[in-house]
Amino acid sequence: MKNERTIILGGFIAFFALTLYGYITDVGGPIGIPLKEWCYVISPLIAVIFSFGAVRLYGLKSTYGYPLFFLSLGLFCWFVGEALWVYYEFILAIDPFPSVADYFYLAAYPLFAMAFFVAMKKGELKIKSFDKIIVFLFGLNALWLFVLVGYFGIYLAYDPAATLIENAVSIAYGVGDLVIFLACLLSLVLAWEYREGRIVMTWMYFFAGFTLILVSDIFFALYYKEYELGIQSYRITLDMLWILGYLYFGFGMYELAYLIRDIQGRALRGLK
Amino acid sequence: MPSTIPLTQDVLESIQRHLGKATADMYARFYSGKDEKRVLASYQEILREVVGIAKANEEINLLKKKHRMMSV
Repeated sequence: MKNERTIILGGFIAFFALTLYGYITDVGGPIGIPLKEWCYVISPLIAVIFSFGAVRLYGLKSTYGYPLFFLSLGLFCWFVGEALWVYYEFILAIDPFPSVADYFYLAAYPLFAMAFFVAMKKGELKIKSFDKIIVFLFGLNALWLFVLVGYFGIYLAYDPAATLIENAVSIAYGVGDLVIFLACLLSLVLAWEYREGRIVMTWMYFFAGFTLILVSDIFFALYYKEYELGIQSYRITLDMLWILGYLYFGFGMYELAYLIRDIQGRALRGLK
Repeated sequence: MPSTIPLTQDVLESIQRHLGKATADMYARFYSGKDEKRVLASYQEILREVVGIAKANEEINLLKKKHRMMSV
């Protein structure tokens, strides 16, 4: 089983390397869509496949069954959004903003919020048991980061020259980023709660995934024009952050499935 | 009053919560015919590995209290 884990990790690294190669060389791919765009769509698909695999193994009746299910649905919405974005841009050759792709991207945020709301409730986390100084410092940092995300994601997202629908969608992304910010914090809290156990790795990977997505979303809001003009350095950096975020989600889900199968394996060996 | 639910049943419910129904079903087969001491030892080992010693001890102590056993 350890070999399988190494192979899967190697596969993730190889995919990331291929994506980087696609972005640097800008080589073409099947049906006239560049390789980098294929990789861009495949990365959330990888996360979705591993997510639903983990949910299937973990079941819905377990503590984090429904949270993982909502998280997987959210990732699925992002995958559909990314696929539609590439379809609009490369097949239809029209600007995908705003479009149906945005609705799928935005649909993921309430699902993530639901995932973490249920996770906190079912996980029976006792905030009172945390050290008061840690809670205070954590809260203080969370507050200024919350203001920062709100300023960049919502206030700066408003463009007087844009249409009402464009502004509404842009601001909705800003609100969505606040959800992602909360998801970052909550995955960190859950990682802290299980810091001595093997399950901590799954929450740490989710934390990394949400953080990368949040950072790239903020930079996208700040450098939207440069990104849309196709300036290579902006495009590569932002897309690679998004892709890496998806891959972290995928590997986090794989880690959970690996842990469950490992524990199941012991019972099976005992039965033989 | 001590719980009337057998300890193994509670252990399996906990395994289901932490590791899913399929895992709990496997352990139900694995634990069948085994005495409570062995079941508890196996459960402790799994839980400590998955959620960590502190969190696992909390849950194990509650279970022991429910079934009136000595604490960890």
